[in-house]
Amino acid sequence: MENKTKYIIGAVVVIFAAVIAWTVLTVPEPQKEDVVPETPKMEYEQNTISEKKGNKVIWEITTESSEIDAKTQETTFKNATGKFYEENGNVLTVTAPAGKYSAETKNVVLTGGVDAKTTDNMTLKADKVEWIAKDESLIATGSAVVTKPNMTASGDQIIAKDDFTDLSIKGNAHVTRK
Amino acid sequence: MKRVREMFSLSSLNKKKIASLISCAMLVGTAAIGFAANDADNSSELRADEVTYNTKTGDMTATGNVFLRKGKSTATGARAVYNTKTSIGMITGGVVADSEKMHLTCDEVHMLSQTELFAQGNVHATKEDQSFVGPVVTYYSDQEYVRMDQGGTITTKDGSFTADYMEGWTRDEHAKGVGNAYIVSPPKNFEGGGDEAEYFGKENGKLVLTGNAWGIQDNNMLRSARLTVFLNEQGTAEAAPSTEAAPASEAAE
Repeated sequence: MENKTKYIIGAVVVIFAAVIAWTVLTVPEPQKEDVVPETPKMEYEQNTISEKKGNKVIWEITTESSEIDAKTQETTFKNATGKFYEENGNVLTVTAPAGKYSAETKNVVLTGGVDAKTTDNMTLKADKVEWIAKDESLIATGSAVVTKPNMTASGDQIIAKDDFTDLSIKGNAHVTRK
Repeated sequence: MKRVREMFSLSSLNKKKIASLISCAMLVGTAAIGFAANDADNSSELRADEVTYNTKTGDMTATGNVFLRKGKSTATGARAVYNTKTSIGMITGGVVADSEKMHLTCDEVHMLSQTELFAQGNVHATKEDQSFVGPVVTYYSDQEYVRMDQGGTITTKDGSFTADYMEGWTRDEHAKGVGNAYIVSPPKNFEGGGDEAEYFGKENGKLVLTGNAWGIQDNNMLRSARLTVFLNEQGTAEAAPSTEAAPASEAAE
């Protein structure tokens, strides 16, 4: 009987020890928080981006510095100088302190005070200028002013198409002709 | 032809005053703005809430609080369509136009060509003390010709001239009113009328009233198929072929 008791006690101790070991060894690890992997970005200096239609360059922009988001394919740049090549052969040269280019939409946004001038003496000034690729139009927003020889157009927003021959002025529109 | 002279003492109704009354018709065309006229200052200006402008075709559309200036002439309205190359266009919606001392209000002004201008809808033109009120006015700047197809009333401080149809040639100081022509000058106590009234400023201020023509000054009345009044300083009247003179009191009966 004594031996049997000893066996029983021994078995209980072993089982208890096993339970303790199982409990300790099988403690679940705390769940890890989702960690967003850092999007890889590529940085460039003196970079030039451009857009083509067929073999013809529509525009090209040279930047002092630029950063491309590898995931969104959006390029953010600073101190840009660009050239937009018009159908009529004129070239619009534009400068802006900052801007963005979307590889998805092919749109360009220039910000921070934009100045532009064409080879036929047309000028454009605005707080912001957007190139909308699908419409092939320029949208100048914020104190927008377009000047041509003998003509000045200004407004809150100017949408220019067809090499600046088609102007749509919205908000405080003002056109003068000499 | 029976002729009656000096039936009226028209000396006080002098040529200049009647001329100014009739030539008021001319102001409508020119007040309907110098856009159709040549101006040394050819600069132009357009303000609006929104403007579309095609510099290649010259087509321009302005909407909302439109203000248009050409030279010294201005116009305001709710909407304007204009072609800078052809000078054809229109301004609609409560048009107010000013050209130097002339002031015009109407519903619409249409610039039909570089020289033809059409104003319609409650046309009211003023220049100093002269005014015109009527439904429509057409003005041809190259011919200095103004036509008011639906007539109207011209008013000056000296009186008024009304007819169902009116036209005038400013260069020739020639004006005509057809249909219920009526001239009245309260300060001179003069009235005249007929089916037609035609004024020739360069012919001693000749005013010809035809078709049931009549004229009254003070208590003198003259009726005729054709009544000619010379609005010169002396003031004379001729009537032909049948003249009937009667006191005004009888004529009223």
